[in-house]
Amino acid sequence: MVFRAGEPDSEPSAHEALSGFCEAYWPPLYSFLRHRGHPSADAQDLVQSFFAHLLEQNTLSRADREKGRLRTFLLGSLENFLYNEYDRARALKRGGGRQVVSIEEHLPEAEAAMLATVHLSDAGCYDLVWASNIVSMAWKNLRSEFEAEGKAEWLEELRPFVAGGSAKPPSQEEAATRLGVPIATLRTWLSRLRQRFRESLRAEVGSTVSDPADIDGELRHLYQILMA
Amino acid sequence: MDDISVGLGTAKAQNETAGSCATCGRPLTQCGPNGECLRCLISLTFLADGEQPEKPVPRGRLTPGPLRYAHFEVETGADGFPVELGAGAMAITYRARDTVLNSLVALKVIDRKVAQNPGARSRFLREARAAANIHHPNVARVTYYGEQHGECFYAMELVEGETLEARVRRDGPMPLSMALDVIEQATRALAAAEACGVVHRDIKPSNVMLESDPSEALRVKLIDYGVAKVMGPQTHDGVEQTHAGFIGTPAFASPEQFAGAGQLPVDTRSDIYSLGVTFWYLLTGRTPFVGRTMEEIRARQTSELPLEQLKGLHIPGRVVALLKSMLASDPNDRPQTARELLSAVHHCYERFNPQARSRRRKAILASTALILAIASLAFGSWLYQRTGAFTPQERSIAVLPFENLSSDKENAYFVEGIQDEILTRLSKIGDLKVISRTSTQHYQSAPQNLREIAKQLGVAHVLEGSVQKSADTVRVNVQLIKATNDSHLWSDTFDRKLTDIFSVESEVAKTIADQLRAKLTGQEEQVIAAKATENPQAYDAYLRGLAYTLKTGFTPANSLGAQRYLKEAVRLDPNFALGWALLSYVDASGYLTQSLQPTAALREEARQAGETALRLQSNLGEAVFAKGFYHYACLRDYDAAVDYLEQAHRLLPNNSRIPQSLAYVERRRGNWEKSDAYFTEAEKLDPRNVSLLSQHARSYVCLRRFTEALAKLEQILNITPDDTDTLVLKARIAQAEGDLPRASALLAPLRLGADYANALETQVYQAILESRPAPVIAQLKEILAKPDQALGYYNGELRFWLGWAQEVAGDRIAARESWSQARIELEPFLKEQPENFVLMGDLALTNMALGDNAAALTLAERAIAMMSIEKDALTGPRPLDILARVAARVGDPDRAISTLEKLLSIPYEAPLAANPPLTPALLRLDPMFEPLRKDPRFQKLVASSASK
Repeated sequence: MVFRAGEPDSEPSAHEALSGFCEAYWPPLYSFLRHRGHPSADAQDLVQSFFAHLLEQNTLSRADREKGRLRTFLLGSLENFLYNEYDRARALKRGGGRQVVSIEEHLPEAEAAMLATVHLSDAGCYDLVWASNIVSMAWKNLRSEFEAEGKAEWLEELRPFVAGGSAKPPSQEEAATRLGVPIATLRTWLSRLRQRFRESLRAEVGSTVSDPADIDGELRHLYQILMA
Repeated sequence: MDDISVGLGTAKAQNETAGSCATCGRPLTQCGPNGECLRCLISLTFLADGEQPEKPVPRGRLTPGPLRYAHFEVETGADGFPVELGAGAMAITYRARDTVLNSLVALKVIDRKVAQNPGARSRFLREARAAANIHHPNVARVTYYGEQHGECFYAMELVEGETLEARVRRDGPMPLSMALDVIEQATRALAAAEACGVVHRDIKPSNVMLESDPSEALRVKLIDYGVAKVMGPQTHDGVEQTHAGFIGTPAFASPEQFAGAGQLPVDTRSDIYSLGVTFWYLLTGRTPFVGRTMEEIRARQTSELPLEQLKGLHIPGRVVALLKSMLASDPNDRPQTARELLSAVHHCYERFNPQARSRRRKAILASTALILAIASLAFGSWLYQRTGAFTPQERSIAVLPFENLSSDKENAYFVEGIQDEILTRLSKIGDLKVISRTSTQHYQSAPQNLREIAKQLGVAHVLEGSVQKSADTVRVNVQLIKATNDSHLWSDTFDRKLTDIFSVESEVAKTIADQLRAKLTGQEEQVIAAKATENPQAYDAYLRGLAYTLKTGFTPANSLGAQRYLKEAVRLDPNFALGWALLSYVDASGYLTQSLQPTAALREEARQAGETALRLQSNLGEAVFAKGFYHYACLRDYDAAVDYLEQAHRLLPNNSRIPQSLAYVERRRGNWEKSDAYFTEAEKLDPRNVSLLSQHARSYVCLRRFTEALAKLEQILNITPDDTDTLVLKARIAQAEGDLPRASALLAPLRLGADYANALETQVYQAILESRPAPVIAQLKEILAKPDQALGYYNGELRFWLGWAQEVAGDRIAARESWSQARIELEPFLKEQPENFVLMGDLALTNMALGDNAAALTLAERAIAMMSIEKDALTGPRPLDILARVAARVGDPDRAISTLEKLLSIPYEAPLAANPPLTPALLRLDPMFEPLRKDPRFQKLVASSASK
């Protein structure tokens, strides 16, 4: 996604890609700003201005060239932006800034994420929200794929075995009976489902690093962040 | 993307006190869109199929956050992860910060499994003790050992640089001369360890560091002393060591290390063997004996040395002989002690290292050079003028605490005094930037991480020193160090009689000025050479008094101690101007902060002392400052204070107390911008003075410049993490911005009692703003059940708050009772303190609450008459804030609104839960303004932006 979003000469698709990009990555940025002490309205404005700034500066293609990780790149850029552009950004009247992405609707969740991380540093909050965001997106993409294949219900049945949650998963025997397959088949399905999630997560992480060799390192980082 | 809730489906989970995941058992704090456990999901990537995620091991550390071991905090990198310096199978070494001494260390944390071997901890401790005893420039010192939650850890001196291994990997084999230099230094380390009876057991290129040093000198440090021995499992006599139990690194291990435990002693000779292999590695880039297994290596060690590897390297026969002796398979054929080895290595080093040779030659040439030097003097002085100018940044210095080497620890005051006097003399030189003592006093004397400290303080140079006082003689040693490369510019030792101590102070200051190429004016030359008193007893008393003033905080004990000794000093020498000046400052600050009883007599003593100092020495900066401070602190005569302080500022250009005082005075005069500039100036000289930073933050809060205030508060938290007052102020800012959830998140972890007045009031105010008063009612009742009489009228104030909380809870009867009690408690205090406008405000609000409108208005107006904005821009508007509240409640909306309009347009420190001034958000949330809610003028105020 970095590559596409940063492409300068394919105008309409670039803008589309950018707006998708912004929607995907605003939560950690917003939570970071809130954690740092900006009031909610300011944090919203700042995220908007920051994205507008990325668009103007064509910074994303630079990110690609510099072979970085999107996670650290975006945080670094935001910090630079705050440092260099803060006065300018503050001068933008609320709502008068460029509306790159609509975020109002999901503010409560982002607020909750910020409050749940008061024990962490600003950057720690950012990383945790980032990691959650990436894993969630990977799961969501997988779900969409299954929906497109007409297997949404099947996925719902198998979900507790791979994705945890508050409800205690049924026994594999029970599930096999309900699905009308032998238990060995169920186990094969589960194995495939896990494999597909791994691929989905790798793809998601892959879109945030410019060098595929970094995928494993980044995955390990995300793992450590979530498990801390 | 249609659904952007991804990753943040946490709201529900958070609010319902997140349960735990039925699969992995971890708290369900990170959930996907439909409650998926994100931890389970990411674990799939790292688990084999069918493998279940590991259930969390309950650890002692309950709250997540940065890794901490005792007072060491592991540093995190840009990615938020611990910075690892190295990791092995048995331990991880982190870069960590000693939060007490605020210095960096290498922290080695031994794997839990290793640490839990039977007896392991006692062996760790024993070895750490032994290693800590090795004091040698070539050994990275062990400075701390600790245990925590089943893990053992060591703190070691942090060596910035690279390992020999990294160097050879990068640059290939070393030239002989350099390798000899390295091995010679490493041998010196072995000799030092040998003297302490410590064997390293794991000498290898990755345990030898080359310290980075821009001055090109090679500095070798052995790391991890004492670690290897205890890393292996416990070995009783006769117990064969297995592969797993092998201590050391096979390619560098000695034959006796391969033998079973107890069969052959492992002593310094084993380290000598390993150092031999290391030497070989430096020269060739490989180890002499390689093998796929330990057995193979072991077998080859007894065969001939593969000397063909040295072919083409032009290694002299003498060095080959040295290598052979170090690598002898029988320990008895090697040099028997490190000292013996040192003599052999040194011989080669002297012979084959051209630098060592040139040093010898230099001695011969020195006499010739002298003649040349004289000839070039004229040219040199011209050159000095051309190239000698230091930039202002280079002419900056921090004087670190001096070490007290006196056998009598009671002499600490004397050491502090000498350090401060040298610092004070330096600070009188306008061409230098000298960091204030408040910012340096928390550092160690002679710390390891000079570069880091210099960076924190923003200076290029550091002065270290030590003082030894015995009877009437003093030895002062000082070292002037250039921080960027840790090089000594100058060091000297002065042995003097006590009566002659001034000459040391002025000589040191003078030499430093010369070294840093600072230009001195004639007057500056005079003041730094000045002798404050002819009477050594008076000076001793002065130093004792001075030491009290240098302690943190104005407590009655500190102020009384200082006052007593300074009075003694001026009694012994009535012409001691500096003594009089300091006495005046101690009195005046005691008066202002009430650490001394603020009586008329104290005020008079401050005046007289200041005037005496000025009469004795009219150009003494300290005397002029004392006079200015007296006008500020005792008379609130701001104009006169500013005159004197500005004059003192010119005399003492590096004294941060002066711009600090000017910042306070200008703030009271309402010159907020000027005050801001003085704060910034003071912070340059005193960058780590927490009270200065927090006052600056308070100014921004008064100005409603919350972003800047938060940035300052962050600076404070970087110096003193978890500082309650700072966290409370952050919460108050959140309240003023109308961000109650954030305020609540900040306040929730703090448990406070009545002694944290502002903090407690902030919590109560938060509960009132949130309309959730029940918990604070209980808390206040508990505190008031046993009121602390020392808190004076503050107990009455707390009763007022209790009444307010009870009213918000809808319990009008209880509220009335609390307010009546508050009035009974507050009134007698007003009789005693008829000018106390804060007390008047409290009583005005209490009467208002009780429905006694006339009394409330009268008191509010009396307070306004007593204190005005013109008299004090900081707290002067407080009575107006009270009046607005009273007018709103007693049905005078016109007056309330016009007062609020005024208040929203000016900066000030508010009366309730002191600090942020009223903001539109507070008007919207504060229930006291309820009666105005429907008034369109009020609604306009609430909607207005108060970012100015």
